[in-house]
Amino acid sequence: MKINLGKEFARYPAGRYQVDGPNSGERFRHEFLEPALKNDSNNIEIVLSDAIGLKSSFLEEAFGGLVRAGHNGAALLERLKFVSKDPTLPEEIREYIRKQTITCIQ
Amino acid sequence: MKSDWVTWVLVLLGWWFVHKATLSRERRKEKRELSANICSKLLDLQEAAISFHTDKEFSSRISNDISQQVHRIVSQLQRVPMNELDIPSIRIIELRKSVTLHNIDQSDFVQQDANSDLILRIRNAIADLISLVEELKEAKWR
Repeated sequence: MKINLGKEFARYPAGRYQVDGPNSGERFRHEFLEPALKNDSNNIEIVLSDAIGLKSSFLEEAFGGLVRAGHNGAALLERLKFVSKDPTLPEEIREYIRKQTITCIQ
Repeated sequence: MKSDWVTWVLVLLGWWFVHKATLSRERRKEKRELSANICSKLLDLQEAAISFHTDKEFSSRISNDISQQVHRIVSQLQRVPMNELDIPSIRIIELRKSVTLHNIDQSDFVQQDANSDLILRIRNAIADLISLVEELKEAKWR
């Protein structure tokens, strides 16, 4: 399964929670990531290249939030594949997943 | 007749070497100017980010402008010729995190003190990146 963040969700994603606006990380997680993880057992390819000005708060809530919502961090690192012109974005996302996994274990 | 021919070959070779050296110097100069321009954009970002975080009122427009400023600087650092500097990704991630991880959304916005940890983190991330760009520029494009 493939999700194009910039084309299917918002070209300018912004905000951590839904109260911060319609293009928040929380909404992206609820409406795109969680259904994809639930309905498809294969890897999920997330295209980040078409989104502009991604904020760390958005990334942390969308992906770190998956671990807080009960998803297994190791499985997420295995299943989520990223396509990005900026190689630091996938690296930052994986950091949030790992950090939340450690926090949840503690 | 033969000596004329040799003279011309030497003149042409000399011209070619001088031309090549001039081109190479010009390219290095352009790259150095570009890196100076990026450092200046980083300082503009620092100014805008500190002004945003220390403001009494949250501004959604400025919050989005700042994240786009970060996006443009990062894109420039990863494009030719700036990518020749091989800036470690940890520095770029720290730049984005320092400015856009906390206090960037209305839900957690609190006016920051000029010496708060968040402001110091922004200053450190930008100072570290500028000093790295300058060091690498000196080493590679002198």
